[in-house]
Amino acid sequence: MSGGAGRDRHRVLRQLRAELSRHPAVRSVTGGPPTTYRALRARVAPEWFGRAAEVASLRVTWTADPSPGPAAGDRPSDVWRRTPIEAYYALHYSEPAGLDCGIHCEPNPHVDGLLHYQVRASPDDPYTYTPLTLEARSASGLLWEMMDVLADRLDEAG
Amino acid sequence: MSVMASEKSWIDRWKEHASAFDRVTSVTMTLTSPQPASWIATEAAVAPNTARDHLQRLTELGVVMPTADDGTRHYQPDPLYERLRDVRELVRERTDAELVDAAVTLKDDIAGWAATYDAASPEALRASAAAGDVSAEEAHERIRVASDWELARHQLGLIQEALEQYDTWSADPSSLTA
Repeated sequence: MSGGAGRDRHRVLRQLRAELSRHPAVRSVTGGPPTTYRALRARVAPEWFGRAAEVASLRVTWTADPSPGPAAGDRPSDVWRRTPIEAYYALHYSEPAGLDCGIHCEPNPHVDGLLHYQVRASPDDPYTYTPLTLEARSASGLLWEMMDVLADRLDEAG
Repeated sequence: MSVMASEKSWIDRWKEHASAFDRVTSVTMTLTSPQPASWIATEAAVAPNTARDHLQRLTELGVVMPTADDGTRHYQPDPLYERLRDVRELVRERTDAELVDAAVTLKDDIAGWAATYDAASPEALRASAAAGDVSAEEAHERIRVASDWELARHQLGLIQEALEQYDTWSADPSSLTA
């Protein structure tokens, strides 16, 4: 699409901000358009995820153009096999000084492939990484799908 | 599963909190390549005829631009609508001093990236990520910075346009009706 990767990233982040604002777990969204934002930040209701924490936050990033991507040169091949959307993105949940976890689709030396879930019980613990599969083909749908996956994983974490 | 998260699928939850029109609009506005109405209908969880009706309305409103790929009508966000919407938002929600500060911040960021990576443009930086002597970690970092640079360049263009038009549009907000 004409206009370049900057325009695409700006537009997708703006729309993801709107979708976050609609989500029942989200209390407020900041860091959105129109000026110098590069990520979205949201205050969320921990109880919606079955968590006892008083406050929690989300951070959402989106890189619309991942080229040259992880398959270039001598880097390990990844065929985007677990997500149909060819972008780097992340949705990360954090409780202050406590658990943090998230869904990430981006290169990570600890992970085979791109799309994974990572979690740690506290900032002093190492992350545990688990492969994921997502089905949404639009960024908007993906946001809602990731929020449900996050709820499932947090429920399992107890 | 928590009480609020319950057993619903993400599609059911999205449908509960966003209308069919909002979902069609949202899917279309996140496209990075044109798609036909059938694809948009599937991703927005609406019937094909519903998607076509909403896309027709969005086209009439100037929000969406139809194109003909291989004889099939495809849709994509209208770049002029996006531009006017974003510049209007800057003019209405920011003072001219705030816009100047934001422009300075973006220019400083861009100058910093150019110096750090000895690159003249985000395209050059992105291309350098593919070099054979660049590690996977460094390649990812360069792609991330190139993307930030591209975004900053886009945002700077919006801010400069808003500043150029500030006196006209802030004095008469009705002059923009997109």
